[in-house]
Amino acid sequence: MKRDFEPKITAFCCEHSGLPSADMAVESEFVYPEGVNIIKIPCSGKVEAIHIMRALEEGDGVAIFACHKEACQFLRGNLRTEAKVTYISKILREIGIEKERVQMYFLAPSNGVKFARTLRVFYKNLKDLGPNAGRKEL
Amino acid sequence: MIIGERKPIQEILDMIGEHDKILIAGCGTCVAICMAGGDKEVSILASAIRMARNREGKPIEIQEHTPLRQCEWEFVDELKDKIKVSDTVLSMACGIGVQTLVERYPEAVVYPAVNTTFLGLPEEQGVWSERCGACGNCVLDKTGGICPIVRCSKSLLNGPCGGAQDGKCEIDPEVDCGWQLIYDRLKVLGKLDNLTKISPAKDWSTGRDGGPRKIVREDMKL
Amino acid sequence: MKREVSKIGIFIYDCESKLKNVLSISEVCSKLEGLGFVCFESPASHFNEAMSDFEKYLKDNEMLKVVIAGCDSRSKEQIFKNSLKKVGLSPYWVNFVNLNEAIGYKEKKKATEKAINLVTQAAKWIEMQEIIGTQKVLLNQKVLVLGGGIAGIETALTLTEGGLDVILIEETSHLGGGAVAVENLKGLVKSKIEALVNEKKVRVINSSHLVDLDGHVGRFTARVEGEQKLIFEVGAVVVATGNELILPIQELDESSGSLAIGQKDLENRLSLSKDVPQRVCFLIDLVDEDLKISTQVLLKQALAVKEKFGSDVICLCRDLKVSFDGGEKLYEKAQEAGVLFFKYTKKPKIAFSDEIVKTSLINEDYPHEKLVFESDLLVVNEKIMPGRGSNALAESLSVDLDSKGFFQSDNVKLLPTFSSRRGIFFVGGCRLPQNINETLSEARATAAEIFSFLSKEEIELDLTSAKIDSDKCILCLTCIRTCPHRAIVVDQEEETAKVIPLACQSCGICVSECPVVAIELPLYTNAQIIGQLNDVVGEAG
Repeated sequence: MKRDFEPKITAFCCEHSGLPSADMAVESEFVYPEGVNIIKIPCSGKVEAIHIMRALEEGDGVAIFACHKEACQFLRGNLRTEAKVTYISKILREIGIEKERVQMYFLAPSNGVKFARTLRVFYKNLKDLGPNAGRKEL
Repeated sequence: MIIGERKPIQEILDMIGEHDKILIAGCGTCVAICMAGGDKEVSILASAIRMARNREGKPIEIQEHTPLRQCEWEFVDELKDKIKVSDTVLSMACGIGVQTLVERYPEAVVYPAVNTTFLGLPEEQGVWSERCGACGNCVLDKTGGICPIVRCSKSLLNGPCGGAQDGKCEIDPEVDCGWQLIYDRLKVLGKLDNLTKISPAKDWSTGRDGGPRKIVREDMKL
Repeated sequence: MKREVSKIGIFIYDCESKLKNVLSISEVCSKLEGLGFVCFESPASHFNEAMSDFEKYLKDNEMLKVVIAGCDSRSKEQIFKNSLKKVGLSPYWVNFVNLNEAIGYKEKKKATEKAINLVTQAAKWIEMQEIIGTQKVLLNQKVLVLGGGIAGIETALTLTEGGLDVILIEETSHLGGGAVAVENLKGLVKSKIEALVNEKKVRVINSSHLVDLDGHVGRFTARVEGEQKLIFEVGAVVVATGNELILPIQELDESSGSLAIGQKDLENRLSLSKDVPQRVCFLIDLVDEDLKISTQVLLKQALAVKEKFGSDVICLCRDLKVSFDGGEKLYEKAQEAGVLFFKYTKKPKIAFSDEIVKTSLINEDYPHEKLVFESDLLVVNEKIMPGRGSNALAESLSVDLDSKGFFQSDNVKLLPTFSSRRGIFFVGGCRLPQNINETLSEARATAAEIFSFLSKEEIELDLTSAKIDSDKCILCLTCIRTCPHRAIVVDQEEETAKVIPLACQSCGICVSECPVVAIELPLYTNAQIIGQLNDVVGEAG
């Protein structure tokens, strides 16, 4: 296992919470790890299982930043995605990939601190896990 | 409609074996609706297989295609070119689709990636349940519109067994007793006397007991 | 306008020279020019200067699509979009990059690479962006108000001020609702009813109720039944059906006589200046522990009783909820005036004898001290129940009720009076027990909200809503079942599911649920999202 590897993280960010938090994080210089690829989505409910799978094929971890459970702009988009993440983790278990590589986080629209901290912790966990064995050969 | 469920991925991986160029063929009708083998499941399975094989250090090349229905000759013809360059085909259709491919492409190796589970309906979003056993000789007229063949775990035709408790089946307290349902329904309809009539032993020759079934309509044939 | 890839411009500006120190903007630009884009580096160091630069840039270059990269661009999106509109460019053909993302990188080389990646990704995204069409939509400018209580009346009156016609349906035979029974509100209600009855733009229909609502925002069809069966075409629906009060405990049924009363009864006694006995005990939080309105009323009444009649006032409560306006001060004032407060954790025991109520309680923190209070009057807070017809009404409106049976707001914090369906609003006590001032301001705010989109007979709508490909749709109904806004219907003629652009809020949930990939969200297509994933590889390689 490569010790010095840099995990590639895809972060799906809901425009109502994750994205403003990400903006706030960078503006306030709450440092989060390099190699995070932020993808904007209108609601975490827009994230499909296949997006998560494909992101894993291309990287080491996927984080989904959604609104707090009872505060989804669209009622239950975040809950549906949470269920999808559970479904994905079952698939990952079947193919021997650590389910910890896919994480869903709920946060407020202005929580840059939490955004950065969460990603730092996720980054560290991924570093401990090592490179994603299922990832495409480069 | 036909309800199916994707097979465990390990089982699918075992079928693929050492092959490294495969086609995953979905079906855009029944199994798409029950989220077992439509476009989306095809992509998800492809992605999972790729990752599993990457993990083993044996990358695999996967093509994907989902015809509207895999149980029609015309629609499976779309797969021709892709099948030609694949050494294995995984069908995510029901068993009918798998066999359509086998018959249309006798030279191809076709494996099922979906278990065809039953004929049923979506009770609610994400929940499907069985309603018909395709016995070929419908008795719904006598049982208030509730099928004793599939709703009763023992497919009894003359009332419940002695195992039901509080309206639930003895095989599982979550499962309604089919005959309780039939009784309740007949009561509402005011036709409880249906239950006093004895059904003679059912003629199963129209079902699976009579061998492979076939219907020929001379008036429809070309 | 035709889609031309070469016409994508990249506009980069530094913000207070923050970027210069950490990355090389010219390197970013040259790299992107190498990829075939036109790149412009604004020398401006300030957002305002950058803006005038940008407008000049738009005039000088014949760009179709633009990527704007700066350090605060997402928050300034609207300003840039306005500039684009000025020169006749589509506000949807622009994408924003927040280069701050690259600033955290430790090495200049890596930061520059990150910036290149970010801008390339944004350019790819916008490259795939199709034209957003528009559609003219006719709006019915009538509004249906359900409920003739103070909330409904105030909403109706405010709507007419904006020039809209209103149909107000009241279930009972008279207007006024719950407020009629409250003495100090009688005057207010009376004057409001008078104004309403004299308003020509309002049609009041008593003793009737809604049985069915079809259609969508801008074009609802409502069936109303009562003395006669009526059908109305309306553009919006306001639910203002209020709530119901009941005394919460069995000991306090009518046989307990005048010894125990509800907060509302006391309110009436106070406003009629009826006598209040020497010892008064308030007991709240027996039910609805999470509502602050009982605390609000408690503090106000306790103080009034103390000040007007000099009574001994004791308040028993689980928690004082003083988060309302001036709550903390009112609590202090009550304490200073000599009102005593006791906290209980277990439900107190209440015993009635001839003329006296005995209330005894134990606080779990001091389990050995049993407190017994004798009083001449016990005041409790009523249980606030959803209106009786709420369930049926919610069903005919296809909207949700919350866990307690009140109408569920779309977003409690951001859009409290919006329902999950566009064009249907909840105002007043049917949504949340509240005081009269809150209700009145809610009613006015909602009317203003309705007016803002029903003020024109016809509007031009940007079609950013989800799009269903009727060739792919197999009518499995999944989208219709999962849409949180009931914005998708079956098009019987075309045999396909169909999105109603006005009702759609572009969340994309239907897209991710559709089993046959028949739905796309024009501003976030699958190709766009997957395109961003692939870039991760580019980054690594």
